[in-house]
This record gives sequence, C-alpha cells and structure tokens, in this order.
Amino acid sequence: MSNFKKTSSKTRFTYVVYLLVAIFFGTSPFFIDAYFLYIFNLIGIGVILTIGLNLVMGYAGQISLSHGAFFGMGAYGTAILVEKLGLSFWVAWPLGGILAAIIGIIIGLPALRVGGHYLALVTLGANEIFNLILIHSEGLTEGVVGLKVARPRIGSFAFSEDAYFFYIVFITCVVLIWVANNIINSQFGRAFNAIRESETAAQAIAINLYEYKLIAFAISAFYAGIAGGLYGSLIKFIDPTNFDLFLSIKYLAIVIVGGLGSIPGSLIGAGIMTVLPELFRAFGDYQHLIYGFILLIFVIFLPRGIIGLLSSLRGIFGVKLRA
Amino acid sequence: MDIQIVISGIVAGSIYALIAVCFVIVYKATQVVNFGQGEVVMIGAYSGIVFFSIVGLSYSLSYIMTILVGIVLGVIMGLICNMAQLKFKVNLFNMFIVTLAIGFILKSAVMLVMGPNPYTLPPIPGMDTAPRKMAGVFISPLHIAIITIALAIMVALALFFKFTKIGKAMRASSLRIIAAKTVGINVTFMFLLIWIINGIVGVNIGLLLSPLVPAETTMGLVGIKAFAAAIIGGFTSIPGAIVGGFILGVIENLSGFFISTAFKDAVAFIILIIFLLFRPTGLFEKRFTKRV
Repeated sequence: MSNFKKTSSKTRFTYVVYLLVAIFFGTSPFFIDAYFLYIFNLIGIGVILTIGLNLVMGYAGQISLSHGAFFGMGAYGTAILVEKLGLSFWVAWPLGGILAAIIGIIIGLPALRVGGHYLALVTLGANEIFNLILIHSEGLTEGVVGLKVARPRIGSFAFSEDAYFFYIVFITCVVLIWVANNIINSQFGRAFNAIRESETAAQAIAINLYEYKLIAFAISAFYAGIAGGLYGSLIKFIDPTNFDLFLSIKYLAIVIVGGLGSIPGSLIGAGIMTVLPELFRAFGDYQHLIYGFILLIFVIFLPRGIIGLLSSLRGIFGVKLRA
Repeated sequence: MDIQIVISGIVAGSIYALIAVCFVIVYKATQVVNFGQGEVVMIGAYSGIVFFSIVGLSYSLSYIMTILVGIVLGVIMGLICNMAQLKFKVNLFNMFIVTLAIGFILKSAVMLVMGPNPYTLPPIPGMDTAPRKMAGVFISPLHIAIITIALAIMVALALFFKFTKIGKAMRASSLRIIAAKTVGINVTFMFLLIWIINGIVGVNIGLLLSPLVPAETTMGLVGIKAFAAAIIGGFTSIPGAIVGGFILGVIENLSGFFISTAFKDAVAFIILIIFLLFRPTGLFEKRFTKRV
C-alpha cells in the first residue's frame, strides 16, 4: 500500500513527472501546430474518460462496458441542453456530467447487486439500449442524422480555435486528475481497494459493498460524462455511432494497457492509444482488429499493463512509478 | 392472430435456448463465461453463406465445410483460453475480457472481409418454405425444421453431459481442477474438447439462424440476448437454459407486437435487469452461493 507513504521519494518523483507533463502540455499551444493540438485535445478527453473507468475497474474492481453510453450521455446531454434549451455551455456541461452519473446509478442499481459477468452483461446491454434510444428519439437527438454542437463561449469570446479549447480540456484534466488522486487516498479509495481485493473481507470490516460500488460507478460515469461534453464540443458534431460498444471496448483496452489501478498508467494508456491510431491512419480499417488483439495480448500476458511493466524495470532505473 | 406471434417467438426462442445451452456447457466445464459466443454464431452464418452462395459448393458440402470452420474456431478459442486460464492463470474476471476480445476480433475480421452489408442464406433447395395451415395456425416447414433441429442438438448435449464418460469427466474438471487431475482426467484436453463442441454447436446455430435474419457483423448481439435466457434458467442448468430461451423468445416477440418493434432488442436486457433485481439465481435455483 504505497498510498499511505505520502512523502516518500517515489511519490515526489511522481509529482515531478506530473509537473513536467503539466508544463509541457500547458505551454504547448504556443509551439505546436493545429493538428497536434487536436490530438492533444483528444488525449486530454481520453485521459478523463480513462481515469474515470480506472476508478471503477482498477480501484473498485468492477467491470463496466457502458462507458460509451456515459460518454454519449455527457455529449448528448450537453448538446441538447445547449442547442434545444438554450442553456450556457458552462451550465449544460456539468449537468451533462451529472446526467451521466444518474444514468450510471440507474444502471448500477440492479447490476452491482451481483457483479462479475452479470455486471459486464448488464452494462453491455445498457450501452445497446442507450444507442437504441439515441437512434429512435429523433425529437431530441435527431436520430442517426446527428446533432451539431457549438463551441463554448465566454461573453463574446468563443473557444473556436483548438488552441483555446485545449485550455478548457487541459484545466479540466488537471482538476479531475487531482480529484481522482484525492479520492484514491481518501476513505473511499481505501474502501474501493478493499472491495477489489476481497469482497468478503471488505464486508467483514463493515464496508457497505453495494453503496461503495455505486459511488464508484457514479463518480466514474460523471468523469465519462464530463469527457463526453468536451468531446461533442471538440468535434462539433455527434451521432449515435460515436458512442457504440466499440468505444466501451476501446476504453476497456486503454485502461488495461495503461495499467489497472494506476493514474499514471491511465495517462500513458490514453496517450499511447490515442496517438497510435493517428500514426497508423493508413490501417484505419484494421483499427478495430488491432484494438481486439491489443486487449487480448495485454489481458493474458501483461495484465498489469505498461505501468506494471515499468515498475518491474525499476531495478534498471532506480525509481518506481506508483502502480 | 396472437398465437402466430407466439409461434414465431418459439422459433426465435429455440435459437436463444440453444445459445444459452452453449453458455451453460462452457461455463459448467471451464467456469468461463464466453462473451464471444454470439460471434461464433455469426461465423457459422457467414461460413454457410460463403461456401454455398459465393464459393458455390453443394448444400451438404457447404455444411461439412462450415462444421470444419466450427472445429477450427473451437480449437483456436480453446487453445487461447486454455493458455490464458491454465498456463497464465488469468483470473475469471479477466477471462471474460479474453473471450470478449476474441469475439471482438472475430467481428472486426468478418467486417474487414465481408463488409457491412447483410447477406442471406437461401433456404435448402427443393424445400417448400410456404407456410401451411396446421391445427388452425400457419407455420412454415422451415420453422418446424429449425425448432426440431435445435431441440435435437439440445437433447443430445444434455444426454452427453449426463451420461457419457467424457461428459462426466468434463463436469469433474469444472468442479475442481486439481481433484480432476488426481483421478487421471486430462483437464487441458477436456477444456479444449468443450471449446470444440461449443464451436461446432455455435456454427450450427448460425446456420439455423441465417434463414431467419440476414447475416450481419452485428449478429453477435443475439448471443448477448441469449445470455439473458441463460440467466433466467439459472446459468448452470441445461434444462433451465432451454426454458429460459423459449420464455425470452416469446416475451420478446409479444412485446415487439404489443409495444414497439424499435425497442425489441432492448427487451432481453430489461428482462435480465428484472431477474437480477428479484431473482438473480434464475427461475429454478433456490440459493445463491458464492465461492470465496
């Protein structure tokens, strides 16, 4: 339990890494071209979603295949509140996150009573139902045609350039990483860990399994919703195919590739898995296949992900990332 | 007119029941929940279409080729899952991510090769598929054939597990791997065998299904729905899965008629959620026990 040793050298090392990464990304709009800024935006959004999913999968040990739906709920919720109800983005966006959390609780209420493969199935089914609803409630979502989404604005200033938008993504990302870190080191985080390690043991020390699993699920869905709101606004157009099961499986793969139960792992995973498809654009058709194989290989051979690999190399570098 | 809907529900139900039985046998033998089952079914449907309509083999030859595809698929899935489960000791939580990934790979591969357009398998040449009036209802010989074949496969599987020596050995391996090994059961081989059986049955389901619905890459959804059927039946009992499959098929068709066809696909999940809330052990089992 490295979480208790607050000021150990490896924690300090982690903070230095965080700081360097933050400085690099924070100043990047000044020296990076537009295409890479778009990728950075995608990475930031991916990081938020991955960390949310990691809270539920890596920390609380519960599988979720409905994060595509939570992500979509955030995107559609924000877009509908802005476009149809005329709310400001800054009100609609957190509301989108809260709506996603509510959906998360609604799905979690029956599914978390049993867990395991039942949870996988119910969440998978929930994603399918969500997609059906998106397609068939044309009045709100315009069905398969899709919705146009405007970039947010403050007064007369619109975040129309990716460089401006990046600061919203970046600040959100930093804040949510900080929040996640605090959750992990709080009573909740320790309860999540206990549940993941042994439900029976956790119950024996008076942890209300159901309640804590629901909390984990709701927080995770909120993260996904916030990421979704940003995503819709970034790409300016959303339709139901953006939020299908592939997205859920993709992020399942990202969490596992990065490292279950590790925030730095989520950063690495989301970074690599967002950049790789862009590097291999020519293989676009093979993207799904590649994700499938990556998931399969990591889950069998490297279940602790890249971060697990790095920490087993600690002898070489003399430092250990918190995994 | 409603009895007509019930009948098409039974036809769909026999398919669900058969897939649910596949879930149960794999789960009973290996403790793995196979999330790739729907994709095995999809491969069956596509193989039938490729060999019969595209390659142009005769019907019986296409059938044999499809079975061979099923065996190969079973061997591949078996080898991967055995390696993961027995050699690398992947836990059961991650095992269904393994099967999910396999299913996803199959789906993406078929998408790459065949494209997103649906295909239909023509009915057996010379078979009269026109509905006939029997005992006051219209029913097509095709539907009767589907129900009969599905039931025959289910009964054969149930008998195999109950009465043959290999079936018994498989049940023993699922109870406790080490104990099964000490009495001389080759657990690895038993697991491989069950995956092969699963592959063969899976492609057969695909062939049965393809005259009813066109083959698409999203066809694997049927497997997920059948999972609900398996849960209705309690997930460890073959008769339970069969009953669950028929219940699901009939309810789904009735709700498609009375409520909305757009949300027909959602019915299975709603039934599933209701069962998880009120009866997570299924219709027939009494107690919910969990291994610590």
